Amino acid sequence: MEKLQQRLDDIKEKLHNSTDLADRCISLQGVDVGFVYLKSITDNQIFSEAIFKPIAKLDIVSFESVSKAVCANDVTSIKKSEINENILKGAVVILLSNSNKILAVDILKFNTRAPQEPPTSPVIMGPREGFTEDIKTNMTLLRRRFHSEKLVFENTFVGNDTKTQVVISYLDGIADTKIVEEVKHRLKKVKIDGVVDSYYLLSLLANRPDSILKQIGNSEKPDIVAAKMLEGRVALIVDNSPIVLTIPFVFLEDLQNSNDYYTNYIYSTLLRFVRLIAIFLAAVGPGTYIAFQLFHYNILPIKYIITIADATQQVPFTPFIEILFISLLFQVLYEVSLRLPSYLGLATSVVGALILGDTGVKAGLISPPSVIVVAIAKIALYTVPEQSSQLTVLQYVFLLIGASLGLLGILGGMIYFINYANTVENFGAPYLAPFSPFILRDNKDGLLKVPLSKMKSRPQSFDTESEDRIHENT
Amino acid sequence: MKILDKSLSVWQTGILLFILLFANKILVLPSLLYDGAKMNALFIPISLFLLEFFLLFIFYKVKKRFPNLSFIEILRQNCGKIVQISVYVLFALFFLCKAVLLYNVTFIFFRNMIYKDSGNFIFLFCFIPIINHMAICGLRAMGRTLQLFFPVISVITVFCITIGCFGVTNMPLLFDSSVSEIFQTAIRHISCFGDVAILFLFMDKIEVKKGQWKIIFLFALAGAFLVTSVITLFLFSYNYTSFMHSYAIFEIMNYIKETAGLGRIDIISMVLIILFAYFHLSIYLKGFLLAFDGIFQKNDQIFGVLTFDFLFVIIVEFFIVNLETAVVYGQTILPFFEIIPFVIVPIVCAWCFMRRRT
Amino acid sequence: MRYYIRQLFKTPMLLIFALMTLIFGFTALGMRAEVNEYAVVTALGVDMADDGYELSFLTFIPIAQQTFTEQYKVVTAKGKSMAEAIDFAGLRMGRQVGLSHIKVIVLNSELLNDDLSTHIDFLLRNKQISTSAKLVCCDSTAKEFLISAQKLDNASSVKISDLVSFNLDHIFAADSSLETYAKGTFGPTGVGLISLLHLEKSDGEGLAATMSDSQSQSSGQSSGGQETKEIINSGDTAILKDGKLVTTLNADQMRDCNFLHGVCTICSLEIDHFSDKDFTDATLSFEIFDKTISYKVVFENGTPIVCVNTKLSLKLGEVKNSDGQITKNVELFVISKSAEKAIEQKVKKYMADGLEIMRDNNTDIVDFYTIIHNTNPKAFKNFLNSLENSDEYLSHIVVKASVDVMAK
Repeated sequence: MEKLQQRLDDIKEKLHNSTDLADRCISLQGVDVGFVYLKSITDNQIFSEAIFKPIAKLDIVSFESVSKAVCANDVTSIKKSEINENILKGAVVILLSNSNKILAVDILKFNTRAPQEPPTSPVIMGPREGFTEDIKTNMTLLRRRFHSEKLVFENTFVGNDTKTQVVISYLDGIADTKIVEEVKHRLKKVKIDGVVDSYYLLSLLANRPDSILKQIGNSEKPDIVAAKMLEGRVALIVDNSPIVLTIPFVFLEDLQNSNDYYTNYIYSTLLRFVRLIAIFLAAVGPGTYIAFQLFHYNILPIKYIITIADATQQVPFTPFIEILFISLLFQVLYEVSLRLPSYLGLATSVVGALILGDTGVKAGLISPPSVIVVAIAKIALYTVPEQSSQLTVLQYVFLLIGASLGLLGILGGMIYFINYANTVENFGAPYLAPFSPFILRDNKDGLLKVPLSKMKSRPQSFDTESEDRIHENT
Repeated sequence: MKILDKSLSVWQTGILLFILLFANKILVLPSLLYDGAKMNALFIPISLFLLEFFLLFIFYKVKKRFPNLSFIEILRQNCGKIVQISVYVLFALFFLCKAVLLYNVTFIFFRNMIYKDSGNFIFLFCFIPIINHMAICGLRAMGRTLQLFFPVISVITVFCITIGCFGVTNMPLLFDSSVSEIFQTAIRHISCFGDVAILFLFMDKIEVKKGQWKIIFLFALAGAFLVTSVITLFLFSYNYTSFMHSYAIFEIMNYIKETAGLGRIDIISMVLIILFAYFHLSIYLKGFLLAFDGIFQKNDQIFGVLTFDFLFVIIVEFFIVNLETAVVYGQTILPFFEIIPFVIVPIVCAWCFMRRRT
Repeated sequence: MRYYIRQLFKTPMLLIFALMTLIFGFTALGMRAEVNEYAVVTALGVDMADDGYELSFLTFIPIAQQTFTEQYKVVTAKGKSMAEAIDFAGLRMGRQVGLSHIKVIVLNSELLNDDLSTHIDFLLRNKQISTSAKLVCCDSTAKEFLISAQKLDNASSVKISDLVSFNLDHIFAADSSLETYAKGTFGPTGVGLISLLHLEKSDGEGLAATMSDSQSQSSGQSSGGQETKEIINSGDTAILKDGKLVTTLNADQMRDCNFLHGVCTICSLEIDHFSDKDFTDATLSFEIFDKTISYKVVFENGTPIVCVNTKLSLKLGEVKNSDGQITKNVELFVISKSAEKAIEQKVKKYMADGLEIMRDNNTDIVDFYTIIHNTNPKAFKNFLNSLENSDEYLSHIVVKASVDVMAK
């Protein structure tokens, strides 16, 4: 049998003598007992109270007696090859000089924030808690919503170096087994050094990773994820990420908002129409404006022509350069306000919106109609914040199309894009369902929303094991 | 999978048919019909739509008799390979020619109304990539796209018709032309009809369940009704000056004082014309591709698309340059191609039926 | 970068679309706004010149300002044809002439003496000009008219197009536009109606605009002046047959014709010297707020008899009693039998006068031709064949009038 100290040194060497690595060796009744753990991710108090003290009091020191003496939930016997892995996951590894067996006690602890209202999806009415970076907390948040044996958490690890824990969560008997299997299969196929955040998995799991379209749903709120799981979707909880992924995804999900479910359904319907109009404005607003300016003055009403003509008289740039300039200005301001601390961000907004915009107009560098059009389009982007990145790209694409080909090009571009979106399917769900293909039952919670009591079935856009949500006879 | 089968649903087929029935009929045709038959031109779309419905009825019978076979297989089994290839060559020509007519009429409208002084080049570059993309992406994606745009198209069409009703002022002179004039005009402009023939080309890809046929017929009826309404409204709005107005759906929105407060609402009809142009050309190209497939029995879409593009650009760029030539082309050359849907297809189908029976 | 290029090549249609957009996009960087390349014309005046036409364009001139008020100028150009004159106008303005927003076309009344259809052929053919543009003629030159209109457009929110189009419901038997003129002229009767406006020295009656007679249009552009001229719309209408002026009807004569015609609805009706138990030698003014006319045609011995039934919904608007007392609450006024009869007689008189005017001028303003033809084409054809001059059918048809009066 190797000397215990030698064994401890070997472990330390394998872990590159990391500064947060602690080892301790004590001698009890002639038996050496060694402890190795990472100080940074373990609970020192538990270590001393629940592990060290009970072992120190032992009369007979053997593997069995040590494992019985430890007052912890997760005590496992591990192989020599698993030592490093366990230490890195926050376990204390206990080695005995009189035994080859190794004991691992999980005392993982690190500082994590409490569930708070996520800044990306605040609600007026409804639950305010959001997921955190701690996977266990996230699982707890979901478990609290399902007091049912149907809720399944399946563990898997992704990333050769990070070994990030990914939990596949779904409701047994509701989520389609084929989709669950497909998710597992794709996760298995992931070959990457590390997964730092759940967003890493987006392009790794998507059907068409090259596409501009968002193909996997995401949410920071447990109530939304729970609702999606009830519809038959599969959730992926990734350790160290507050964003939970949901599969399959359809575009409609981003048109819906958690607020819709906590307010009157007629009001929700109205808001969804507003969001759709906003999407339309955001994507093609500036492009259409420039198309009319450059190609189709003759189909504009005279009053509008007069306003545009008067306003653009003194602008030194051509319309396309002017609108590109304003768009870029807005984008720069957006980037700046996003990255600066909030108090500075406010200052830049004031400088950008009020001073730059107003002075620009007064100086005759930009025209008021162009500022209004771009501002409306930029604001409209954030009515559906989940799609804002795609919409920003589309905005520039349509701006280019509008300037180069006019109205014909814009409508052509729209047809092209929608036709393209219709070729995309995520885990069997058509991207634009339930609008195309039109699925009547899903449209109860589509652009129009009906009261919850009328939504008797789960979405038909993708397969589920059970179609009925409301069982009349129960 | 419930939705993801490779076929076109009956709703999508109906919508495709609905949209296709507008092809070539809502721009120049009403004006030309008035030119030939005065106010009695009203009867021409009705009678030609009856022919179109006869073709749809034949399709219904063929599909019922051979539910899982493609038209190629039906022709091969009953008429032989040579007949099949000949029919498909004619189909390819038919759709190419119709696309050329449609493109020209639309192009001239755009050039006159919204793209002053723009060349053919800009329009070709707009249309060709998009119709190619739609045709290559397949029938299922196309069906879904049409389904998504259907509410927009139908709402705008109904809006145009409703607004157009305000333009009808006084009663025009009715029954002022002879039956022979009506008949001659109908024959001259028959080239705008016969689009239902495209259904034969992808009949195996349409999934019709029991009792669903009425959906296809209803969509077709709705399309025919709306087209007839546009033509009727145009003739009643402009009557004696109909010959001066070449763009019916646009013109019926143009002369309405009730909407003066909104400015120029005719832009709405322009959007409709643009959408129709894209969709019609895409469907024609798809028809050409399916026919091309049937001729060469190769599933090489790119080759078919390139052939179409080449022939299309040549014809459009070198032979048809203005509205007059386009109209002459539509009135003299194209009517001969109507033999394909209205004569050859019914004969071939009848032959197939008889062969089956014996 | 290679990834993006590879992606583009994977989807050839996207590549073509992207390439083409980029190519045209680069051109777009240097393109000026169309509103700055076109002179937007809102009204067009047509005068005869020695060797062709003189066209005047009321055009909007954009000025850099924040108030967005409209500034108009009148530009004139001569040419052998209208197309040539427009080309010259473009040269003068330094911009292309945008005709798509023309709302009013003013014709010098001289043009009505020849075949008007040949004069305005360009306007009817040009796809840019909407046929809903109002077509009016004036007794002075169209150029003068537009200069007055320019002042009006610059000075007030009442546009010349508003002034002209207001008349549809009030004075004309039909709208006065390019379209209605063409419809009438190309129709079976060949009768076209055009509103006739006057330009007179100011007496405060019409919409005034300052202008100078001495304005020379040497540069092609006009400027302000001293003398005040007014655009007077007294409801006069030029009646043309086959494009040639037949007569000019004043507002009263047009009103007479309108009682046979269903288009114009709003006007007033006065009954003089009316006496009954409530009124003594009173003058009653009624507002007609609804008028429905139905026609019924029967043939008797091959002659068409047109029964015109006019249903009037009236409201008592004003009473002038001889004793000066208001004896009735106008809101509670119920038309008595005697009042009804008086109204009926008055309307019938108007109708008879209207018919007389049409017969005298042989102009079928009401379009009895279509009404009779649509009832029985064959019988009407026989009737026309039986006449010596089928064009004078109006004198040979019988018109029977009946009036129903309703008080509201």
